Amino acid sequence: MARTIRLVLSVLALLLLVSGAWLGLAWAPPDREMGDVQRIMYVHLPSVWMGLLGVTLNFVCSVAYLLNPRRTVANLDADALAEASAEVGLFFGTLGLMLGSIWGRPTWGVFWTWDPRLTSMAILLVAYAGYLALRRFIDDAERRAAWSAVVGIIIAVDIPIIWFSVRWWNSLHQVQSSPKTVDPSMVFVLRWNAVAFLLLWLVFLSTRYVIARSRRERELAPPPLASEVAR
Amino acid sequence: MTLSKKPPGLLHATWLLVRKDLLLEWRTRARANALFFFALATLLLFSFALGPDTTILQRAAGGTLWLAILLASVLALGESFRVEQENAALDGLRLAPADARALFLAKAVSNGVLLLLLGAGILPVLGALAGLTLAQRIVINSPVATFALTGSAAMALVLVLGCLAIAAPGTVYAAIASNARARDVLLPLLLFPLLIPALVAAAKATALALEGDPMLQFGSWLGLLASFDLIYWSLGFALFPLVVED
Amino acid sequence: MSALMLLAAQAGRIQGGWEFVWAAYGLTWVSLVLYAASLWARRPGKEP
Repeated sequence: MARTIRLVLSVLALLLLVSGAWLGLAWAPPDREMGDVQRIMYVHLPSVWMGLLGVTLNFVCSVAYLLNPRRTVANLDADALAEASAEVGLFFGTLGLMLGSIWGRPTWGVFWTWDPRLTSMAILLVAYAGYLALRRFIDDAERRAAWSAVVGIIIAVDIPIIWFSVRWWNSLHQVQSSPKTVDPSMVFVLRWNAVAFLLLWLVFLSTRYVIARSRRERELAPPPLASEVAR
Repeated sequence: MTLSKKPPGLLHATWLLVRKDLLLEWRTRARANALFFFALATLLLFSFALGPDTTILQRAAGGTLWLAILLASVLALGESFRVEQENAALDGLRLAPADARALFLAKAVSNGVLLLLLGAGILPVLGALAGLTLAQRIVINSPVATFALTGSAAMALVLVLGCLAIAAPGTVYAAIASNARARDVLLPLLLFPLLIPALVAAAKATALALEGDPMLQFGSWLGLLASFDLIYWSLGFALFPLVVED
Repeated sequence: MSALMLLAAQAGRIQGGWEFVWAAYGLTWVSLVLYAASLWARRPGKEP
């Protein structure tokens, strides 16, 4: 049942993605100021949004895990979902960051500036890479779940602090132009692609969740009896 | 020690643990000494990497100071839990739930004190290497009142708040990392991105305390640092028990 | 070329830049396929 839903979502996501690419590349008009470079926005913004969505979900799951009593099924689910959302969020966030950098080259002339958004995102991605590394380096399943929940909360709380500090830090220098989408046809294409990315995010998330969940079950399952192994 | 009828209160338990840690530190001064020389070596490295031009060193002084403290802190924090682990002393320490919180406060305070002494120790060395002077007067405009600080008072304030900022999350992460594989790389990997706002604020505030603050920005950076401290000491206090209990 | 772009940007309109657009979309598609492939490779139940 879940598999068919995922299959349907995948097909739908693919269709929307392909049509979204056509809309973005051919149908949408060039921007008044940015020209055709504007088209990068249609993949950059949804990627970033999906990255942030993953981060948010990770925070919710981390809190949920710590609020629940130990050794419940819901607990395992929360932990598996936390792992999945962190990885999927990291993927989309990294993609979004690179796309932002590609957008920056023709717009600002350089691949990187200490723009608050790019900078905050970069810090966030390194932080979540650390989170995933932590998960890989703890062998005990319950410890891993509890400790990564703690780290997940600590990172999430830092996000607004990072944002403000980087903005102050860079406000002493020039202010970069920000992408604007005002034209209704552009908004439409952006929304179309956003939905496509969201569906894709859901497919990736649920797949990664299943992977995490089954790993957890295997970890917590009792070891096979000697008689079974000898067979 | 006599057995008392009721368990020690939070502050008392904390004080006992801090005393134990600081006494241990004092008796085995080797660790603190080694950290100090490590931080000095880092300063030298920065000086060599940035070039003999003293003006560059002066401009980079704020950042250099805090990078040296940060790098030394990774060693200090890692050590602070390794001592307990090697003797399985941690099991003996966490006897009651309240003790976990006291343990956090104690570890964070003693780590903070260690880093503060470290920072205060290397600051004059950096001052000599880069030819630094403290600003005459730093003014902080707050909604409550306007404060005027001497350069040294401002610098001391930054040092205290900055070291506290490293100590709280560092203690939590050190406890986690000490029980994971690849702990030597995991601690800095987790800590560094988290501390970037504190690093930015501390470095900027230090630079202002050294060069003067014509645009009255010192207060904002200090405020950011203080907020960071408040948030992470509270968060560490709340979450640390989850890390050490089984 | 970039100097020209900067000039054009200041004039209010960036000309061309299609290679960046293709790079962006290409990167997006390649990454999505690679990540999907990594998820497929890690799917549970494929071990004996």
